[in-house]
Amino acid sequence: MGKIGIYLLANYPSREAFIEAAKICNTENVDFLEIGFPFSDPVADGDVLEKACYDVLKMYDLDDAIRSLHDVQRIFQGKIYVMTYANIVYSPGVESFTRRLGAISGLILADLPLRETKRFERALDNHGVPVIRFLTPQSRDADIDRALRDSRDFIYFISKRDTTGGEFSLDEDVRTKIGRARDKGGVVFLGFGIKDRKDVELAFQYADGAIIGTRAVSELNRGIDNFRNYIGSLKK
Amino acid sequence: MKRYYGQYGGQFVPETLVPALDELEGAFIGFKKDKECQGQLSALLKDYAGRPTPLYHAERLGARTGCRVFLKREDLTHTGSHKINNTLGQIMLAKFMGKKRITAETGAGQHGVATATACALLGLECVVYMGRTDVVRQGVNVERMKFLGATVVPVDKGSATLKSAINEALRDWVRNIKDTHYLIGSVVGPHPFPAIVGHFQSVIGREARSQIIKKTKGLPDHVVACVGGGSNAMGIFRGFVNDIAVDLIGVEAGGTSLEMGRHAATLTKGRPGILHGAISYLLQDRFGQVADVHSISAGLDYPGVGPEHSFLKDRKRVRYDVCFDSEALDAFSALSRLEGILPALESSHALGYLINHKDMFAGKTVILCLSGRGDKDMEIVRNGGSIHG
Repeated sequence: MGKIGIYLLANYPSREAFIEAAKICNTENVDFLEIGFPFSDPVADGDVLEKACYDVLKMYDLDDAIRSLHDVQRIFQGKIYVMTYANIVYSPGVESFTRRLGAISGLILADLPLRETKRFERALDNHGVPVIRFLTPQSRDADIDRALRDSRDFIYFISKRDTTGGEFSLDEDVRTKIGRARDKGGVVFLGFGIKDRKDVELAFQYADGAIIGTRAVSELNRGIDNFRNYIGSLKK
Repeated sequence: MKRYYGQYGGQFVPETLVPALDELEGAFIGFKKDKECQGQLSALLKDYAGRPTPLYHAERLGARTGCRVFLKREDLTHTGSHKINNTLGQIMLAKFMGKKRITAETGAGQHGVATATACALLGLECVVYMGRTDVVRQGVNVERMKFLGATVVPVDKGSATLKSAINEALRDWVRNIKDTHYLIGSVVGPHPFPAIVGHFQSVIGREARSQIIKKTKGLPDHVVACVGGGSNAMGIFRGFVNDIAVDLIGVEAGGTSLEMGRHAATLTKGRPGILHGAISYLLQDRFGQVADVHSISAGLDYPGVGPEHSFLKDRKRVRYDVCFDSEALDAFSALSRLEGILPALESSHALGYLINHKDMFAGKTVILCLSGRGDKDMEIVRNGGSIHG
């Protein structure tokens, strides 16, 4: 059985709804959470998460995001990763920013490719926080091998040549690349476009886990009961 | 090729784009060595774009400012700005790579027009992203792009200016990575774009250097250019950066004041950050959120700047300063009346700086990069600087 990770944008659609959603993920035994910190220019995100970033930034700043993260750390029993963009970490200083996050299992930076991770990894080593590495349908064999070398947590495999959201599918080429990464000992979680139980099952056939972002955020935006039903439906 | 200029530059993009950047870098190296390609590009720059552009001794402007001023007339190129130097170069590079489709961003529309022109010339599909604010204030250029066969996509998201247009062009590139070349318009973005655009624009400085030596038997005291992303400035600075005695000045958009949100003076008021693929000076708040910016000139209305400029600033090789909206408007009128040349509002910032610093330039020889012509700005100037009329 693979692991399911849910992406929630900090304080979206409101602080209360966000905290409630984290509680639901905990009672529904979601394996891990990816907490998004909004950025003004989220180029890796599709329309839904981009708009959510703009909306949440009108109401909350990153101090609010960090406060809510700390609340979630008290609520949620599984692993918690923080996902954002490089400048949010770089601008205040990689180390001082990370120190404020407390215990997290890793940082996921959407615009930080493997070749630029070194300066971030060096600064984060003291805190024992790994930088999550990406693979994509465009990755070459050498990229896969490099990503696996000294990898300290899961590999985030972006399922398609696209921004977040859209449809989920896995072509033969992608399956082969996932296989190569796993053969080399990598723990591979798939993300981008995964929406429902059917997609999750497909992801589990080839990878160790599935990350749901856009759909989870959309469902939460429709209401907390709606979100609860949705999360429940993923494991059935 | 090196990814960094000192601590600036790099490739801060989604992992999906990395192989495409590698492919681009490899192709660019091959392209520069390919004699046939280089010959075709030279011929296009000469016969199609109208290079070399004149270095014009603007005597009446000089009398007004108390110095000897030479204007590097990029406004006289085909399509009316220096942008054509880069788009012709990159379109040949895209063809060399076998790409079928071009995506680009534009602010003032000059890069969009130059891209649409180059695509029409080579028969490539062209999609240009442009912020809604810019679509409104640079309507003539939108029409030009459409006539040239390009699809213009207005961007309503975020700031709805150049920054948002680059965000959308990057997203387009991620989605269409296999057959599309992202023809970026300035010395910004992830490596190797700043190097590529700088290379294709360096023709400005190369020409200007040999022209000034021919005309004055020496080098200028100062070279002045406006800086948004910084491509015309980098183009002309490249010609003089090794001539240590030549003072290089980059003029940024001071907007209405130097209060955050009212200007686009990235190097003057920003600090290092990461936007659009590179570490460079950036206008941002204390959290690292990219700041709102303002300039009367759509081409300068950008919170970032090319990484090589950041490097040259820290090295103290180039000085960066500002010209305010009102000074640029005055300079627009001044050049029109004194020399019969309508400058682009972008270039008017460099002119405004010259006119307002007479003491600094008194008795000196100055080359000013007149990066584009002002026909596109008629509406804004007529409305006294109001963007929406």
